Amino acid sequence: MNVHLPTDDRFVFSKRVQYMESFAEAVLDLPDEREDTISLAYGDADPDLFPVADLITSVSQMMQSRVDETLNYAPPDAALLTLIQQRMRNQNVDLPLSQYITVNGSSQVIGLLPHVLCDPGDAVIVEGPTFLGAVETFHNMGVRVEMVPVRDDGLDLDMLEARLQQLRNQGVPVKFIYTIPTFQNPTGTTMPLANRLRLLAIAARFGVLIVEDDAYGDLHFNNPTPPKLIALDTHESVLYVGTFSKILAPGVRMAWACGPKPLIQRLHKWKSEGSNGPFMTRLVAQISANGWLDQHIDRLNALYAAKCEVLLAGIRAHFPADIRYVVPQGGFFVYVHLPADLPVARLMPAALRRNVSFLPGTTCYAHGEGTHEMRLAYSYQSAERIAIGIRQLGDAMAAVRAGQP
Amino acid sequence: MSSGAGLSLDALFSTRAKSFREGPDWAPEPEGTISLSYGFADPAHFPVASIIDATSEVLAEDVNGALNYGPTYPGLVRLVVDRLQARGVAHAAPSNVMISYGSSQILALLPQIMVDPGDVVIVEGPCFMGAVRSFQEAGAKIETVPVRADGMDIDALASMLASLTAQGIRPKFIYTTPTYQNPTGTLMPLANRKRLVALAEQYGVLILEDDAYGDLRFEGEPLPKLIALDTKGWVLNCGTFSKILAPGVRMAWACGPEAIIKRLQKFKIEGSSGPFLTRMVERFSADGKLDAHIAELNENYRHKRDVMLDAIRREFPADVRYTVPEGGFFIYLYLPDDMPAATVLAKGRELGVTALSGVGCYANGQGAHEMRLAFSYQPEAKLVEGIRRLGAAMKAVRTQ
Repeated sequence: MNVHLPTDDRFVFSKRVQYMESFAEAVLDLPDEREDTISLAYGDADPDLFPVADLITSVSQMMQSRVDETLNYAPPDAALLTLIQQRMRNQNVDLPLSQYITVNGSSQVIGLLPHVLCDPGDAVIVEGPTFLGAVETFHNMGVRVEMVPVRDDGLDLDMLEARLQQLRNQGVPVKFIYTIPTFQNPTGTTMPLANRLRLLAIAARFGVLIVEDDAYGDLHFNNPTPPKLIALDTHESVLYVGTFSKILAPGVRMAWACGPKPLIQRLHKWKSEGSNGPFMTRLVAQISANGWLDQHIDRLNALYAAKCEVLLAGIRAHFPADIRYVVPQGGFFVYVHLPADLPVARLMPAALRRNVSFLPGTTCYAHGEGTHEMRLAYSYQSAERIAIGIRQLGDAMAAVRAGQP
Repeated sequence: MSSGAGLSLDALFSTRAKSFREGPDWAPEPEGTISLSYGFADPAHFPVASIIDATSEVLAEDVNGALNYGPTYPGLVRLVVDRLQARGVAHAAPSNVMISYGSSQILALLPQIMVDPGDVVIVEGPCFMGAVRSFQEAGAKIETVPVRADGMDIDALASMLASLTAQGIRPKFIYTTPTYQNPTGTLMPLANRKRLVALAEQYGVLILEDDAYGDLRFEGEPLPKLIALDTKGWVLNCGTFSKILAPGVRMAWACGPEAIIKRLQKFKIEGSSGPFLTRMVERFSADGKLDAHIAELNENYRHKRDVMLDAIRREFPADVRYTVPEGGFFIYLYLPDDMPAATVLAKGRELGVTALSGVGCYANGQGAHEMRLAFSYQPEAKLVEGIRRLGAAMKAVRTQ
């Protein structure tokens, strides 16, 4: 993932490019997988539930009317924005359409945030561990990334408060707190209601924006999730980011953000290509309409809950007793804390030799922490392959402990 | 939600995002008005059936590739490379081609990576102002070179470059649409293309070649793209599927110096342009299907150009000059002194027709007696009626 930019003295690039390139690029220590490796590393969606027939039907249907508005220069399909707004209203978030934006995947909003909010020297706070793509983006944009630990109930708020105070004392401007409060990536943890309220109060006191990445919020297996941060917010201090990647398909690249109007306006302005086109927005609206999306989410949750259980059963059967993990109530991941004699650096070669891989915790931190942590995704692989993979991984752990390859 | 003391966002915005003004809005047009204003594609020729077929094939063939996380489909990059090579761009390669969400994305990202406030960017007058606005957002100081009957005035460009150099100023890039220019429809001849590329090389200035209309050729032999004449890497070419497939799919490409492409890709923060969409566009285009569709479009647009030209000859006063484009979407008008475009357009709105004022096509306020007419969007009968109304507006302005 390390991109070496060519040096080319013919061109004079903007000061921003020069500033960004004065930092070393983030290097992600990703597993060296083969074609047939049972990869538990990545949070790809399960292809078995991709709604192929319904997508084809939707394209055919939408081509029978309003072709001009769908294929010509036109704004995003109004039906999609309305559908998103209604879904948010169902979760007690009532914002006008002017406070919504559709984007090409939530990574686009995450990437725009430093652009709109950060000058050189500004800091942002992220969870440690967190979504590797976000940290990489912030880092590569030249933003100072401060990590606050995640506990079994999500972001450690005592540590957050202390860090904010410390940064304030140092005169470092903190622009936003990037959090995944529900089924966090990578830990699978969920922040309880009391913590959510306290987080909002802390952010308000320090004058810091909260960015709530809710990629997994709809993927709950049993109990309903606590209210979204933006639903609890009384200070217009939350930017909410949601996505169709997990509930429809990542490949359609469709996500949205909602929040304070001045921020949404600037996201619109700095979204380089202009608004999302009418074709993809209408396709997503068309397939999701008339309750289809909710039914599909139910199907997804049944599947992901079952596969999560397969993975957990494998862990109980094959992993040593002195590992630690939180049983997720939703989302895509189980995060495992390993004992001192099982560093991921030693475990990975043994795992790859057994044709299985995982995401090393080190890729989920900004500064090399996570040497004894691993993320296991149950989202992509079939139940059968998850079972085999976990057994092999348990075998790899035993081998490392026995000093064998 | 109850209201509380709001967060002070003003204190949080970055310097570049502190000030904010709304972009220009497209004015709604009253019912019954015939719009000749915008370069929309002809909806009668959208390849609806082929889009449905391409979608089905892509999903049937590799559902995980199309719908999971993944890169821009390499097959689409390959297709663009092949098309560029077929047009004489020998150095086109997957490493120097990128796919973007519409060429507007390239036009907005290039100034971000090249322009600091006060840097000079050279544009044509008139030209596509959507591009100019994104250059201005980055703080560019815009210098305008006039467009003649054969495109950008290369003599004027040469003296501007000499004079800027004498002042110690090195412009960041030259924005040009050499082929069926927006708004004039003009075509830069080969000799001028060669001179333009030589000047870029001599002065060390990048050329941003907007090639949005390059495939929409109604007659005449194709001329080499600027990037095909460029052996030293001074041209960034951007092309789009908007005019040859559909604007609504938001799919375009850029080809040029790797140092530029790599940085554009880095600033394209969302990464790929979507596995599903890029596969669909590739499948729609593959195996000669895109060329067949382009041939159909050119037949249609040539006919509509002729319909508009015929109507112009019938309906407009004889001293209204107009361009006769060999391709593209637009005819450009030069009005006599007693017919300011604003007055004609005001009368035109009363009579139920709109067009784009020339003033909206210049960065320097020129164009008061100029006007752009799009023949691309309206059906034939409305083109004829629209020109009749516009001619009536001109005559009314003259007799007032």
